[in-house]
Amino acid sequence: MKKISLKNITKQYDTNQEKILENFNLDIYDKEFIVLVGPSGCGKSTTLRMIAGLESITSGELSINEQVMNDVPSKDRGIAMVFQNYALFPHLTVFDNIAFGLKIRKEDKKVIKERVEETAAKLGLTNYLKRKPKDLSGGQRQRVALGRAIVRNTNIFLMDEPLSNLDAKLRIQMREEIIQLHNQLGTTTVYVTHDQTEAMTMASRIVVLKDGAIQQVGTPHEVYMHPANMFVASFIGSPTINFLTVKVTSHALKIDEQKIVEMPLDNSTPNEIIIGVRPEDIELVSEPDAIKLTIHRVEMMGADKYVYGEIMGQKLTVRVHNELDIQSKQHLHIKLNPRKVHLFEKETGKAIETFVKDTVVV
Amino acid sequence: MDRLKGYGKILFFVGIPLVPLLAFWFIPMFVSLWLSTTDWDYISPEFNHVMLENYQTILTSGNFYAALKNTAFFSVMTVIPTIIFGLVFAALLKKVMKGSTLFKSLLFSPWITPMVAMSIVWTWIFQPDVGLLNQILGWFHLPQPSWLTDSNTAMWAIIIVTIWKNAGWAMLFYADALSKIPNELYEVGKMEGTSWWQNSKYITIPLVSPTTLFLVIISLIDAIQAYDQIQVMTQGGPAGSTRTLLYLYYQMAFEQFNMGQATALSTIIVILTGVLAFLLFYTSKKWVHY
Ligand SMILES: Nc1ncnc2c1ncn2[C@@H]1O[C@H](COP(=O)(O)OP(=O)(O)OP(=O)(O)O)[C@@H](O)[C@H]1O
Ligand SMILES: [Mg+2]
Repeated sequence: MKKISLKNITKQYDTNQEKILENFNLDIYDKEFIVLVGPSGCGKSTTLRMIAGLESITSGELSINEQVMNDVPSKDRGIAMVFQNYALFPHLTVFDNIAFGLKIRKEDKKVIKERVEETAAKLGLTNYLKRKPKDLSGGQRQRVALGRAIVRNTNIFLMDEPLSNLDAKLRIQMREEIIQLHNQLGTTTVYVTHDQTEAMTMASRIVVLKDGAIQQVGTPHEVYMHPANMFVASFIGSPTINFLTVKVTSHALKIDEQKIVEMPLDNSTPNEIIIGVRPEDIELVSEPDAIKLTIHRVEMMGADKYVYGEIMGQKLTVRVHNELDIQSKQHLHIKLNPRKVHLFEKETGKAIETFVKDTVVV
Repeated sequence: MDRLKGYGKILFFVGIPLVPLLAFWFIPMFVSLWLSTTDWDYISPEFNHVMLENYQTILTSGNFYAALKNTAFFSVMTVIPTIIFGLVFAALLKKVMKGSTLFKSLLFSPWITPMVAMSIVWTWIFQPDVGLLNQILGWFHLPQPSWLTDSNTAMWAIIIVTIWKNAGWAMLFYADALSKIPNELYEVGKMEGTSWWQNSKYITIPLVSPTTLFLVIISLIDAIQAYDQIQVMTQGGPAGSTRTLLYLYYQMAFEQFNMGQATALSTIIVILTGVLAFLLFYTSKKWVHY
């Protein structure tokens, strides 16, 4: 069932200003965990706030549960929202913060008490109900903010970068908790972040945005394995994917006269294209006639080492196992696997579909 | 030796700032306390010690209680509207005017104009026959009181001028406090469908409460010490209807030259102010949220 549907949504903050979003189309299904991801200023918050009803929709149609919601006030959309800076009331206790929505909606006092206590128990906040937000840690505050959303029993959650104020370790922990909560409650969630790791680990589907336009919608596996364009390819994955400009010949891709990878392509392929190779997909080989990578710098990352270097004047990063001793070396010999090479049109950056590439079924 | 040096240092650094405090505050305070037990007449070199007689006279005189009542009335009727107008103007400024500097300066200008100058202008405005206020009231066929010359309305006139002067000043503090409330809190409200009144009650008023406490204390002290506007506009009259404690003090000291009783009254005013400020701070724990 379609839970949220955005049809041809356009957003302009001021009539004489440029459009922040244009012809935005997205269907979100029941129980999905959708992550909107993209660089700063691409319109993620704007999209979320339009769904919430905090921002008006310039044109297009927003439906929730198959009902047009463009002009329905926030409170009647059946939505709960978690804000980036927690947005807790500093003068209210944890209990009153969580109870806020229920109180405004004039729920029965006994019901409020029951529901708040139940929610607090779910989030491990039972012992903190009497405290004020300023006496809580960052993670606890974030839990209160989540509690305020959960307690309302809505079937849609909107979250705008809820973890961005937490330190790295806590972020991973809260990420886990949010996923668990989602599995438990099954609430359809739209989650905004600019962190691709969060997107990859949490999403059932990722929506990659750039300059207010959707670049690709797909499962984490799809956007990683089949990026629709160079932007998606470079945004998803860490370290960033390598791009090499190559010449297309009948049976292989070449830089200068050196063969980079063997790949029979049909005649419609342009003469010059860009290939994308992830640092983790590059093989090290010992044959001396393989591609020679000149090493510039090596970063130790723990389990892996990142080797930054170049081949024939083009930059290339390779991820290798940490036990490999490269400190003493100046060169590495590498090989590209045609199955793991992504092809892009040079002019548009769009992915070129090839028959060579196929999905590894997981 | 080292330790002695340490004490010396402390004495030096604490002592120097203490000099002006001693010279201009403690010493005058003790002198006035001492004066309040004499019957000095401000001019002659002789006087007698009368111990607490001055206090007794004041605390049993009808004038004192009338002035106390006037002061209380004046304080309540200026402090509360100043606070309310200040907050309302600041909210309007934020919502309608989007922080317009013109509107801000316009409302703030009374505060930087000397009270004496403003009181003179207002004396003219309150003039019963040709004054601006009664002209306007006349157009609408409303009653035209004689304001400063009627003991029923004189206090109200002084109150109006005082609020007029202070509201813009309070607004400036509230404007700053309002700008510090994160907009997200109102959005949380919007998601739940809070009304205008619920927003004020649950978000705005609690979050500006430290500013409110500050403004109440400062404008209360300001109200107890009001003098300029009374001196220019009514001189405590008619029939003592605008005679506040401070004005009573002024009349005792500089019209009746009864320095002993006047200083005794001033001591009472200081104690009263202190007690009020303490009570405010004490009860503030219940309604001020930092
Ligand atoms: N109230 C507003 N008035 C005018 N322009 C705005 C307003 N809010 C956002 N914008 C503009 O809209 C664009 C998208 O903003 P938005 O906040 O949606 O970005 P975002 O993707 O959430 O970025 P971030 O990751 O930094 O939060 C930006 O160019 C921003 O400058
Ligand atoms: Mg944002």
